[in-house]
Amino acid sequence: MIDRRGLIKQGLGAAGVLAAGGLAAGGLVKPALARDTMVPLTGMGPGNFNISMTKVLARSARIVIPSYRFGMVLRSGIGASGGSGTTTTDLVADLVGMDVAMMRGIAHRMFSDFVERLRATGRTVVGWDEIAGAAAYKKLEESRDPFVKKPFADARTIALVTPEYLPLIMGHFDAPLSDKSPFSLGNLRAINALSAELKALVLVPRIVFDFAALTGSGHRVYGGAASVGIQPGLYLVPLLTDMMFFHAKIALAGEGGMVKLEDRVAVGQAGTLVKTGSVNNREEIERWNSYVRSNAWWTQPNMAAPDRPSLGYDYSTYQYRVDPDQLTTACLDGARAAHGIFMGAINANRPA
Amino acid sequence: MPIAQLSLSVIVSLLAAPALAQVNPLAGETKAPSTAVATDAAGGLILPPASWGKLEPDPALAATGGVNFYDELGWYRFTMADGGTTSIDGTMRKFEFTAGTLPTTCFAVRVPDTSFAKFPVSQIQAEIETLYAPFDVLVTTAGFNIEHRETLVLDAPGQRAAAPFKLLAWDSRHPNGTRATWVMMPSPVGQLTFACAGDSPGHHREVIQRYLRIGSAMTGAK
Repeated sequence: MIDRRGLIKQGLGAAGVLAAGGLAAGGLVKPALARDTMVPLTGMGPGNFNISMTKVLARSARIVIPSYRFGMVLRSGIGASGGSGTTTTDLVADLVGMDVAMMRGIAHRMFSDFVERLRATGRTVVGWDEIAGAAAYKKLEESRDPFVKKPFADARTIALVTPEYLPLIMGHFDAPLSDKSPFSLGNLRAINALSAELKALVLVPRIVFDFAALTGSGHRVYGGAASVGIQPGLYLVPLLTDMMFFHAKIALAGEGGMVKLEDRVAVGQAGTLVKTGSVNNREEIERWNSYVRSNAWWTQPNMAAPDRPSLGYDYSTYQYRVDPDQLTTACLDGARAAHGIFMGAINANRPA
Repeated sequence: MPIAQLSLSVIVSLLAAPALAQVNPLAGETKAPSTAVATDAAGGLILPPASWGKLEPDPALAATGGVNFYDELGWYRFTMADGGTTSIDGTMRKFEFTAGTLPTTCFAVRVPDTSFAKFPVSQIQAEIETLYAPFDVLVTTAGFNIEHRETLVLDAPGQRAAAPFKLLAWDSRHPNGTRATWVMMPSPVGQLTFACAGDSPGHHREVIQRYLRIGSAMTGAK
C-alpha cells in the first residue's frame, strides 16, 4: 500500500482517476466495486430478485396497472480520499443524449411489452376505461412527471417518467426514489381501495437503469492513496428495479408483496464514455517532486524553493454520450428480461 | 445453397417516419384474457391450414384492428397489431403497417431448400451463430452495408411455451441512408428471410420479435 509520501514521489497521476481496473493492474490500490456481484443480462434469473409474498399474486385473475415507471440515472459520482483528506479524488459523470420525449417513448415500448406479456399469462388486464372510472383511482395522488431526485446519501440523480398517457404514481414503498415519506400513506390506501373496488390485483412496476458502475477506494485516515474508477455501460439498478403488487378485500387495508432486483445486471453498451475535464494539482506536485529529487536545495540554498503541496487533488468530469438506437435497444432488452421474471412469478401463482 | 436475391426498391425508397402519438395498450374496455397458443414439439406455431394465404382479423387485437397474415405454406404468421395491408411484390410478400407509432414496411421471402434437411431444428438452432458468413451476401447483394450482426430471439408472448427460436439478424444501412434489419430462419425445409425498414434497428427488431412467428410447417412437424 502506498502512503502519501509515496504518492507525492510518484505524482498524483498514479492515483488519479483512471478507467476501472487501471489501478488494480498497477498494483497500487484494488478498487472495490459498490456491489461485487455483476450479473450478465442473459444470466439473470429469479435468484437475483428478492421475491416475497407472491401468494398475493394468486388472489385475483384480474390485474390493474395504474402506473408504469421508467427511470434513468442522469448523473452519478464518487469520491475517495486518503491521509485524512490530504489526498482527494472524485469524478462526476453525466448522461448525455437523452431527453424526456425519448424516455417516454422508451417507457411506452416497455409498458406495451409488459401488458402484452401479462395478457399472455391468461390473466385479465383491466382496461383503462374501467380504471379511470373507478372512484378509488381519483384518490391516487399523481407526482410531477418527469420526477427527478437525488436520494439522500446517494450520488445518483435519477429521472423517472411514465408513458405519456399514464400518471406517475408513487408510494412510500418506492423509497428512496419517491416523493412520499414513510408516513405518507395516501397512495397506498388508494391502491388498496382500487384493488377492492375493481376486485383485482394492483401492479406497480418500476425499471431503473444506470449508465456507469463506479469504484472507489473509500475515505482513509492512514493510507495516503485514493482512487476512483468508472466502468461505462447500461445496468439495471438493484433495489430500484422492482414490481410491487397489492391486493385488498376492503378499502381500509390489504396485502402486498414485491419482486425486487437485488444484483446489478449488466445490459450492454449504449454509448461512449468521454472524459470532459479534470482539475488537479499534478503540476504542483511534480514541481515539488523535481525540486526534492534534485540537489538544488543544497547547492542553491538561497533559491526560491517551491512550496510543498499540502494537498493532492484531482476532480474529473465524464460524459456518457448515448446513441439513441443503442439506448432504446438496451433499455428494451433489460426491461424484457425483467418482465420475464415478473411474469414468471405471476405464472407460478395462479388463482385457484 | 440458394440465396434469395431481393430487390428492395421499396425498402430503399422508405424514409424514417416521424414519431406519432403513443397509444395506451390498456385503452378502452377490459378485454377477455387470451388463450394459450398451440405449438408443435419443435416449438413451431401450429397454424390452421384453412387460414394459409389469408389475412384475417386477430380477435385478441380487435380493438385496434389487428390482423394476422398466415403464410401460404404455413411457414410463418405475421401480425399487424394496428391493421395493415399485404401484397405480392415479385417473389416477395410485402407488409405495410404502423407498428406502435411508426409506419413500417416488411418483406418476407421463402426459399425452399433441403440443404439443412438432415439436421433437426434443434441442431440448426444450436449452431446458428456459425451461419453468418455464408448468408452475409443476402444483405450485401441488395446494396446494404452490414452494420451489426446480432442473433435475434423470438421470445415474445405466444411462443414462450416452446423454446424461443433464434434467427440470424443483420442491422444494415443503404448508401442512401435507409436502415433495414434482416432476419433469416434456416430450417430443414428451407430459409425464410424477413426484412423490416421504417425507423431504427431497435424498432425493426422489436417488430420482428413481437409479430413474426415461425409456423410448424417450417420446423418439420405436421
